[in-house]
Amino acid sequence: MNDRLEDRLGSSLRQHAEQTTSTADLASAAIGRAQRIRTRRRAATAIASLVVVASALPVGLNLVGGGNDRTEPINTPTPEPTVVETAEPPRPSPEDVPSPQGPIELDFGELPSGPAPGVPYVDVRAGEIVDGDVRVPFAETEIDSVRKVTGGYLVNVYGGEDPGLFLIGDDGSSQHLSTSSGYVASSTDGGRSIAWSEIADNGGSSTLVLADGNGAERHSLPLDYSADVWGFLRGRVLVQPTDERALQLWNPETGTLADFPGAVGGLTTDGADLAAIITEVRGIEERPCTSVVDVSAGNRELWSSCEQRVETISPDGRYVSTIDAQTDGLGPPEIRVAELATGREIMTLRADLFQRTSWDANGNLLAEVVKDNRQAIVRCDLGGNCELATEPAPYDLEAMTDPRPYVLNQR
Amino acid sequence: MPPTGKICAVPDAEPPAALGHALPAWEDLVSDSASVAEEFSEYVAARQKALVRTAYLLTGDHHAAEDLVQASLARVYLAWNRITDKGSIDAYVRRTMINEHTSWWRRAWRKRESSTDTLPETASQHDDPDPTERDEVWALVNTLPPRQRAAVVLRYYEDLTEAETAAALGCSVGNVKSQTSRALATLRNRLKSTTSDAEGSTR
Repeated sequence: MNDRLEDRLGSSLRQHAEQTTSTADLASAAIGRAQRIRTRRRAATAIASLVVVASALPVGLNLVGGGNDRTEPINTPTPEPTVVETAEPPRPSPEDVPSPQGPIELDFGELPSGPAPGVPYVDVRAGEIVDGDVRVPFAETEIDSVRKVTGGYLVNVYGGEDPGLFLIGDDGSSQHLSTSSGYVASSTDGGRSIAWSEIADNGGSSTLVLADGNGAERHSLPLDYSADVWGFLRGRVLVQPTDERALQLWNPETGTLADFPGAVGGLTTDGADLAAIITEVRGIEERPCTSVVDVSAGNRELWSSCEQRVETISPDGRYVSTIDAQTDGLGPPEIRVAELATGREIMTLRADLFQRTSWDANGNLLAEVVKDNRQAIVRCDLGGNCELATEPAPYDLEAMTDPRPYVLNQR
Repeated sequence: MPPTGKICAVPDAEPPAALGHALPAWEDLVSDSASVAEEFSEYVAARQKALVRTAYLLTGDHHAAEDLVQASLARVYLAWNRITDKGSIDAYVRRTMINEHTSWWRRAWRKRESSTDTLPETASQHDDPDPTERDEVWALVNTLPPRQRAAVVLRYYEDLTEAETAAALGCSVGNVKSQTSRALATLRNRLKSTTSDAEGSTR
């Protein structure tokens, strides 16, 4: 009986398979699909990594100068107050913030024009880094991120003939810090510390580097595996090995590495006690499950989600922006703002594609928004009132190279 | 809430060169080049027919099969530079297809992204290459849960060993044995049932 059934099964499968033909151009279709995935991945992953960096270093902590680095374990309560930014205006409590009734569809034609972003950004078409009234020439086009540091603007270029990490002075001078175009971290104390990873050409090893905001190297640590730098956390550097190792913390002062318990990946922190980490990655679509934990209370989990992934944190540490956890580019093109402490949703924005998001000093969300093959930087307050911070510019979703006309700063 | 029904350990499809990365590696983001596209296209040209056949057996729907292959190949393209052993691409694609297909069952966005509007749970009459030659076994294969179905396709169409099937499914050999055994038992019971029904209706 078994043999007969197995024979019939094999025969049936072969028969039906052989009657199947395919003449479609699947190679071209797959390449096009991959490019769309990659475009959205770039937005999702680059945002996440760089955001981690930004919010994690307590104000006033001079990492490269030594002496202020806290050495307690990550889950040890800290007596220091939670201070992330110093120049923030008082923010209304979430209860005072009118939550929009439903998702906000961003349509450039419907949005009023507002002032320019109050943060640095790259106007790729003009070949300039724009920071208020300051305009610094920068002609590269395949740019992952830009951020303000004490020595100028730290720009990560991932393509073109000369990729890598550059420090661009206010006068346009250029310092090539690294030929690796992987992730980079800068501190939130005005960019007085920078960290990156030099990954060997064969990808089998790397060197962690910590420098001051002028690019002068202070500490380094060679590793016999490849790793990305994800950001600063309580005086240490978050390190994401590219193999199956867990998230790690590098203490530059002691040269030691320690595992971040329970984390397979990092997302962001509030600079003191709250951190968003990836606890697991599910399925082929690599859905990360995010937990927001209070490290001062033994890594107590405040909330978790396998549906939304924390991307950025507001300067006052009270809100997060999140995207769908399906970060392979096929998830819904929307971004949400939620309370950091509870995960309660404040608002949802929808367009064709969101890339980097950031926050200005007034607590407004800034986002690179793509709609109808155009991109603009859009500013929204927590009440869901949105306006254009730049004029919309052409954006080709199918382009082989990075089509972004604007690259928003990385906090 | 979509059905979960995860039977084997979660089998993330990874390039043979050991991804293991929680997030897409940076190389993914910058891997485009004319030579990669050319190599990739050559591979697809050589293997498309076989891949679509396997995908058809997994989905029971021609359009879904092509969509499944396309989705899986997109992932392969992104990982192309990291697949150092190009001889193992077939295995990688196969595993990707199985995972992708399993995820389709669980995902609401299936309707949005695919070219068909129905889940491939059962073969529809018009999907069959030749309705006059439909056979009971094939009709019942289309009723199997995706992992059991994948197990029988790999074992009885691809002629993979239990160990190879385990690698493709991300399961232990023991799990493959139980999956296959369960699938065969299901087919056997349903065949008996349909035979009894047929006999009953002729009496």
